[in-house]
Amino acid sequence: MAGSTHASAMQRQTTMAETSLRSTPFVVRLSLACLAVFVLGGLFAGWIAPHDPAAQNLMQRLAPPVFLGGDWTYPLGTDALGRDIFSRMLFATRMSLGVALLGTLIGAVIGTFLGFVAAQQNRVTSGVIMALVDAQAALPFQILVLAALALFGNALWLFVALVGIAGWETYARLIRGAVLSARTETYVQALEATGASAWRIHGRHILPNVANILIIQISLNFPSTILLETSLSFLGLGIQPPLTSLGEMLGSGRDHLLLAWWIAVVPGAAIFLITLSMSLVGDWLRDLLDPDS
Amino acid sequence: MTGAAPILEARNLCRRYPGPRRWPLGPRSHQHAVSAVNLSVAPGEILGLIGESGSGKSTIGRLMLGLERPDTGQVLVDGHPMPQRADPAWRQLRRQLQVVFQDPHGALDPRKRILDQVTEPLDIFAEGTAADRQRRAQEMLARVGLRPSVFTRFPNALSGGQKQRVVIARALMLSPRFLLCDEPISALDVSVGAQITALLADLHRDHGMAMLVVSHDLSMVRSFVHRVAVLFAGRVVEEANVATLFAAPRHPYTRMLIDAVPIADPTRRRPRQLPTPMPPAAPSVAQLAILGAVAGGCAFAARCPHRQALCLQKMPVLQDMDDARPGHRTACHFPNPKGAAQ
Repeated sequence: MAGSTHASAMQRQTTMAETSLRSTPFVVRLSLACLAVFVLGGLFAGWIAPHDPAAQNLMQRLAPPVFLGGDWTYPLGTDALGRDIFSRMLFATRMSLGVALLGTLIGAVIGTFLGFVAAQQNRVTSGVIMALVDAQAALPFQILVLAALALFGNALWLFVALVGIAGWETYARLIRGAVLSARTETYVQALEATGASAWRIHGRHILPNVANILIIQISLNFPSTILLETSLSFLGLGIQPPLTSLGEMLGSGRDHLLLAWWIAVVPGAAIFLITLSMSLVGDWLRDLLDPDS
Repeated sequence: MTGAAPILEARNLCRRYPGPRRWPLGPRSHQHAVSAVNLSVAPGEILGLIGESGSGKSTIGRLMLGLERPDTGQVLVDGHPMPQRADPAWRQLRRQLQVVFQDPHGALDPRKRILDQVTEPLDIFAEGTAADRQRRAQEMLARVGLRPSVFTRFPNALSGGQKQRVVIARALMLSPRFLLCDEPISALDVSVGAQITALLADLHRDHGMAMLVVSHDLSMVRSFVHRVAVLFAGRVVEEANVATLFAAPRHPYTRMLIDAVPIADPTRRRPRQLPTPMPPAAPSVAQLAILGAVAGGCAFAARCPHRQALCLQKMPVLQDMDDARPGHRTACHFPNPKGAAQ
């Protein structure tokens, strides 16, 4: 009896894995391919870029991209200072994805840690943390970032830190709930009855069990981090020239919308594609990892 | 009862849980889960604890293990009071007091392999080398009847019976002197449950640990415990050796519990005393229960066929009823005559 149970259970597992792989929706595969293009482009920007992204060529200002009758020297045209938009796009993608990734991870780590702390018995600390969560959720955070950047001056590390802090409260709320419900599970009670320390229970058992929720939240939070970075850069308070990001390019292209609309539309389309793909992949991951929801 | 000093002894245990407030900021009502319970478990003895749902069986188990603290009364381990939870001695006691849970599906971490989970108790107390711990876990898993092919599986690949074997193996890794089995087979099929019962009896023969078996399954209790305590509404109403209790229950509640077990063979059927509906003129069960509670009477009075006026006024105490059978104690004003059933 036991043998047949094993076999059928194993069979069930493999078929589940296979179907989930085979039934990956076309849209998700397209999104993954799209993300791969941007990630690889950003990673290898230094090798791919045909021009120095900061090199100006005033003789070639506002050259149109290939699909509007331009030539292959500047595949996506040039901007108002005659800089190659294709090369700039590669470096801007690297910057935007890098800032968003770092920011998301900072938020995830802070939020997860505080979520675990807030799930402990101590009423004072958990009350303080949950009050902070509510305060953060009630504040228009972009305005707070604007104020902080205006007050302390713009530095890249400060900007990244602020982008990271933006998302922590969602993680804290989510993880606290997940930890509280995991602690009522019988296996946690069994560990307590065996004298396991709180560190062992939380680090080795509860954390792996809430990891899928965390992964899903990271993938869903990533697009909004990109949008936060790009909107702040668009307003001129984020990434500063000579560095560039997708938002900064979008902002500088705004002045030439009538004469050379591609300067703004190309980075705008990139932002759109990255965030859309990431959201679609995140939704798919949630369905895959969390059958309960 | 054996003469040896008990491993675990409950003295006048009371545990109540806060209930809802009747009005905002008003006094909380309290639900008494366990009231004035005295129990003792001798080394190597298997004590069964039976009673209906909500009678406080599982609460007593948690109190005896020291996972919860009683509101009044105390639990003695080898004659010493159970240490506070923050006390390092409490943690060291975990080696000696272990537990098998009711629900084998929830009792294992879904994201850890079987072998790692069984090794973990040794990891917690850092016993021996890592290889040594693994070897001991493998031996224990083989001892409870699992094949090596499941050792590296995750719990979701195992059946309920296999999971319960893993849980038992994990509980025995530290060679405890006392094992609490909290409804160990109620989540399993009848045939699988019988296998698990047999395994527990077998392991008890080998290891000789004392056990407290919480159950509402009388046939399971009858097949392998030494002594039984019957619980009703958080109080022990009867306590006796298993043979005595099943042959001659004195308390009307015990009698009802035993009579409620169906007998498959019609030729062996016995006269039964099943709960009868109240005659129409009599006060309702709810009224009686309130009366009993207000007057401090017997909690079982509302459902008792032998109820008399005294039962609503005075709570019966648990005492020896029969000089010929010391240790058979019953809490009833009007117990069944000796040797009534069967």
